[in-house]
Amino acid sequence: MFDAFQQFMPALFLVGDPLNIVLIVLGVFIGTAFGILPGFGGSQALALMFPFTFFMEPASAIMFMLSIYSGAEYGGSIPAILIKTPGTSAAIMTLLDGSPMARKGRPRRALQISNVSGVIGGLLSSVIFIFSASGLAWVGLQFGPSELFAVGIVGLTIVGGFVGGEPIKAFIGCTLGLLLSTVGDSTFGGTRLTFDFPFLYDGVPLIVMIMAFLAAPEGFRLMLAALSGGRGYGAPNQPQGTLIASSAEDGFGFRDFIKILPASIRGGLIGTAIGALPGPGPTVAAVVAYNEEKRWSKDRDRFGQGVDDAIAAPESSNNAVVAGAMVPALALGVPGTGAIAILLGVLVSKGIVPGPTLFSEGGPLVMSVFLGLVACNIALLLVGWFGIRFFVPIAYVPAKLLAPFIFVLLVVGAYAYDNSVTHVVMFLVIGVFAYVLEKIGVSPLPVILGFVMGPIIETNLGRALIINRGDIVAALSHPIAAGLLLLALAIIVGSTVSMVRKKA
Amino acid sequence: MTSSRQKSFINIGLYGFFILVAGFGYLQTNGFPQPLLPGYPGSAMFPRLALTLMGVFAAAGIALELLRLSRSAAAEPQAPVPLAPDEDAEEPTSARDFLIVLAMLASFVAVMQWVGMEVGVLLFVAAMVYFVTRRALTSILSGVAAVAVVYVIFCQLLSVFMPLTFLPRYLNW
Repeated sequence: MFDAFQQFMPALFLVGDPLNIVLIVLGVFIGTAFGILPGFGGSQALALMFPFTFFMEPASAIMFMLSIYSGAEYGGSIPAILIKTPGTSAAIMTLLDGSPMARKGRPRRALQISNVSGVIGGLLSSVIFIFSASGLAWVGLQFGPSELFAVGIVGLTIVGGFVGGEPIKAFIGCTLGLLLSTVGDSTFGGTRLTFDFPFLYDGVPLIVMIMAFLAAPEGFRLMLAALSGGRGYGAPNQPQGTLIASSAEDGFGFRDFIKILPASIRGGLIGTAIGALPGPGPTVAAVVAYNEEKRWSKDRDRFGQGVDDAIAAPESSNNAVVAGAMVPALALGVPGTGAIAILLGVLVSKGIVPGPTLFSEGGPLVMSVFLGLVACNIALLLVGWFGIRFFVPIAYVPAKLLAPFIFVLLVVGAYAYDNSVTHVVMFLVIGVFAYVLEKIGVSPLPVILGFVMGPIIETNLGRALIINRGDIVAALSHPIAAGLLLLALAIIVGSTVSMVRKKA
Repeated sequence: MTSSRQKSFINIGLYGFFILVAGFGYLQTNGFPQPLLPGYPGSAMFPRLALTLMGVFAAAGIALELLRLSRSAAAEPQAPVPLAPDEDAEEPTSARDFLIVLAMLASFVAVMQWVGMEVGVLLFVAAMVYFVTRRALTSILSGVAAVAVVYVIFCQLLSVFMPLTFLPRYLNW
């Protein structure tokens, strides 16, 4: 049984390891830098950095990736405030009041509110998780192979149904991911779908899939933007010095902190709740938090002119999504966003199976993830507070010029997997396929989720069938499993009917 | 043809492609090893499940698109075929640019093995940046910076065995 308090000290020692502290600070730096670049969000940063986790222990790898994700969510607000260009889509709401505040001569205050409220949201959601973990572990103990198979199917249908766009395409994406996960040697004997190519015997590596589906399409878009419209693309439209000039009123003190605390807590709670739902992600969380804050604020007429709470609530909310999204990801194996799917991929690549049993069998790892998030937020506070001047110039680097660098990193990352050009070619072929699929409306997230969940679902289905002597009806008619499968069916039918009605 | 009708036909093509994939994949599964014992799941079971679901979803997609087409045909009067290209259509240059990017990437991957990582990265980044900026110095500096980043991080810090022509594999720090 997972006892949060029993696991607390071993997890604390794990997080406190000097190497992990360095990785967390480095991850926050890298994530913030990526978040600042327009067009680059948490998913792309994590996909690019995935190859580096090969060289890390599981806990170190997950903490490094979490800190990159947290940093990217914060980093997006810096260009939103300074040059009115959100680095990530979640920072759009920060722009509404952050940019006017900066233009009134208080850019430092806007950046510090964004930083502090983001940290409050992140800490709040981490603490909420730590206290709810024991309950999740109890749920995990009630689950056998049949239930775990059904949970996997429900996870796929939830993400398929709510990822946006046309659900049928998302469900096909899930099946494509499941199919690709079966390529190579099978645990049930023989090889599958290798077409006698030796390089397919080991299957399609997860790193190749993640880079091809989540980073390559963005790289292609950047490159094409640079080639078609960006010839001669140079410095950004606004001069650097004028925007970060501070007035005498620019600053953020303890009284200001107390003033933004309620809005940050409200935003954090909204972000935690929305993060726990698969699908919406940090952008929706920021929009909801901003709207709720505006609805209940006495200053609602001044929203859009540089109100403190209007920056604090969405920033807190989008950072709280990180820990909130880890709950269904670790407890049910259901990632709500592309970034969380990559984090699950890191776990799977280290031989750790996400799902209900992780809480009862994962030892201090689960607790270290959340204590790691607390450490990430502390690092984020320090890096954000003292490093703003260092990060500001990054906002002025034309993102389109970075496309070749991004592809070099992707190609070298794929090569580094096993020092072979085969996987680089595989990455390019799958990357082009992913780009084309995305152009015609098939989101990469369900494909990646299907790929990550495929082996888990297959193994549990196999176990359930073996236990029930091959009787599939007996295997899937356990009350919890049957209930979950009915829920999956309802999600498929419901989302399809809703799409048909919308288009009619 | 209106853009929504065009989109429907593209979707039907996409779903048709996935039905073909499902059918072809299903045929492939016939060659997979049989289960070891009665009641024991064979290696074909799970791919077949995924392929069946793929086929069912794709067929449902085609049915929905046909329904949409028949509704739109009933609702909209027939529009004359436009002589000018559709505004929503993909710009012809973007397909050409995509092929250029792809060719450059493929060349980069192909030559990296033969001329070494440093030359491959330098040429690829410099060429791409030159294509965008038309500034020779910026392009060369970008290429050199990319080589430095890859060499220091991957070759030295992470000891990845990259193909190198000029740079030393090990440095005494």
